[in-house]
Amino acid sequence: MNKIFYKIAFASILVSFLVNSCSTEDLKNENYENIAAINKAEEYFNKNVIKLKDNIYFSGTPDWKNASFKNDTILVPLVSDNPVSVKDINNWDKPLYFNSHLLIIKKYDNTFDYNLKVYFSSDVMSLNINRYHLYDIENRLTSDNGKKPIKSKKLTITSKSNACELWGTYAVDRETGEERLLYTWWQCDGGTRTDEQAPPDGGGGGEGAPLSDAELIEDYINDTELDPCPKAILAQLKIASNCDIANIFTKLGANTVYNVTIVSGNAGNAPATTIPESPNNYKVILNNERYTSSTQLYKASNLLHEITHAFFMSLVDDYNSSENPAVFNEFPILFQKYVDTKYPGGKADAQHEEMANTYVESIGAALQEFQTGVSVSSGEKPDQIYTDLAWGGLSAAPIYGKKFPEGTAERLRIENRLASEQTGYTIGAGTPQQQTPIGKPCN
Amino acid sequence: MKKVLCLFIISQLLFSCSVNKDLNAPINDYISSLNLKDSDKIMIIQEKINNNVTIDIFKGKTFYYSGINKYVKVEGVDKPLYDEKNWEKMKSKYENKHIKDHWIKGDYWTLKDFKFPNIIFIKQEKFPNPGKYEKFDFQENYKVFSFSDVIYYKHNKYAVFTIKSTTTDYKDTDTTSILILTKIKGKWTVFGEVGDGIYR
Repeated sequence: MNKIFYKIAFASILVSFLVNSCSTEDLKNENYENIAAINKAEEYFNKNVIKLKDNIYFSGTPDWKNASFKNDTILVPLVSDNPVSVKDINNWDKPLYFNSHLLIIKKYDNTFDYNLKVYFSSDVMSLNINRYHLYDIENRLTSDNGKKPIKSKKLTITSKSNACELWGTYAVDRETGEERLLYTWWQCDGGTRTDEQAPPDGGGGGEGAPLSDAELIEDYINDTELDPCPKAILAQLKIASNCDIANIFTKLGANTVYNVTIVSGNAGNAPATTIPESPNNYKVILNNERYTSSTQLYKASNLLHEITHAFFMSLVDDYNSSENPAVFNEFPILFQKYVDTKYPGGKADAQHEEMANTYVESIGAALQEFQTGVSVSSGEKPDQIYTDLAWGGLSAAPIYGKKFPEGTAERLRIENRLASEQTGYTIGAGTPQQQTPIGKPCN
Repeated sequence: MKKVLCLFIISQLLFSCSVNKDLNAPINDYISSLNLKDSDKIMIIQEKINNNVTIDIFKGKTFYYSGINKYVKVEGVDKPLYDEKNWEKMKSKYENKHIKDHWIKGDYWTLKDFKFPNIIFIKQEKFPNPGKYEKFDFQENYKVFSFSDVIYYKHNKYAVFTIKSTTTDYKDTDTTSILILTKIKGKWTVFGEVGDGIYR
């Protein structure tokens, strides 16, 4: 009896040792990969000319040793000996303190996308965050407190018009509060630049808690359970320059109000699904049991379609939280469905119709940028291939049947395009509507 | 005597058919409303969708919103058509307590359930899976339907059933909704459609 007991105990210890050693090994490997990525990001940053380094809020030195990884984003604090503040030298006696962090996203081609996130706070300890700015690698302001910045009417610094303000950046002695002017710059009215901006003077703000790592990350979309190929596709889509798509990603990804989780898994027969799980919580499942031969472009179109559903769901939650119908001001079909309740079809049909009316060209433009690496200029239409793919995602919706009646050449072209990217093969070979996939395979 | 027996059997068969068609009048009226030509063919998935699907979609989901301190029904049939008491009645009468599968194997639709004559029945497992197999052997493009049994709600004032509607080209047997019908001028007429809360 004792022998059996000892054998069982020995076997249990051995199994638990093996299991633990495996998980420790996984953690180690993950850590090595993370450190290697941080080292590469540092090397690339130091060796290359990056406009972001000239940002007026790029103050201090990147602390690469304390860099961390969150949701595939490398977070690097900028450290300086003293707190730094900005203020309007002539008119504003209340300084705003700021601290900045580099947010670095590894791109699919193994290069890095650098962003600077700047938090403004009214107190020297940065306990009360008033606002934040996000600047892209080209030093353009891309997010003002989670919203697309309104183009400020600024003239050049040399204009010296009456509307110009002289701003100063100060190093502040933590103990005495004494300020030392580091540099000055002009902020003027008129013009159309949207690069560096003085901190806005109001609104928003934290509730007195120190910043957590999660709060420093621009992108709160959780893709940790997404397979590598769609994860890389998503990372590329997040930096799309199309305004509508950028606004969607900014709204869903730039603050802690909404939680979007994108996973690879079983989405039934569909290429992807989106489900509202609780208020402001949306789960997207990208099918990894089917559509295995689909191109990256097809998966990009799936992701944009689902992320637009999540965006519409966030509007519905905004409306349900506030009972303010103005939420749907720019979305008449959603207004009909959720406020008027006069829309005849289901909620999914309403969302698809709104997508058809409002986002087909934006999704097409984002897909074209994804595929070619070249953004579609504002005011220009994306190529037909890409809008066809955007329409293809709506092909089961009633609006599609109305817009493209059965048997028409347009409908066949769209469906052949969709099928070709879905399967990775030429569809309709030898016919006028032959479509050959242009996207790369995922594997 | 034999003649009498034959007449009795035939009359019983006809009667049973008409009972089936009456029970399924909402589905038949819905198919009629599609204005199909006599020469058209439709495909119907032979297994019935479980009534539990209808009952669940009807109820949907309710979330609590702290901003307004209220519970809001975000999916399912909206009030006042939905009310807890009548939904409970529906559930106790129509719920399938033993079979939880989406489609019920062995409970099949047959031609005698429908007025529309040109129906091709197909078993659910034989229907091709999009995204998995890329070659299909359908020679023509048919409309494809899958139905649950009809549930009657609020003293037969309303009829509800689950439907999947696709084509042999699209093969989308995932998208699922319930149709709510009421009688207008003697015909069951759709006045509401509610999805399953999964957006595709």
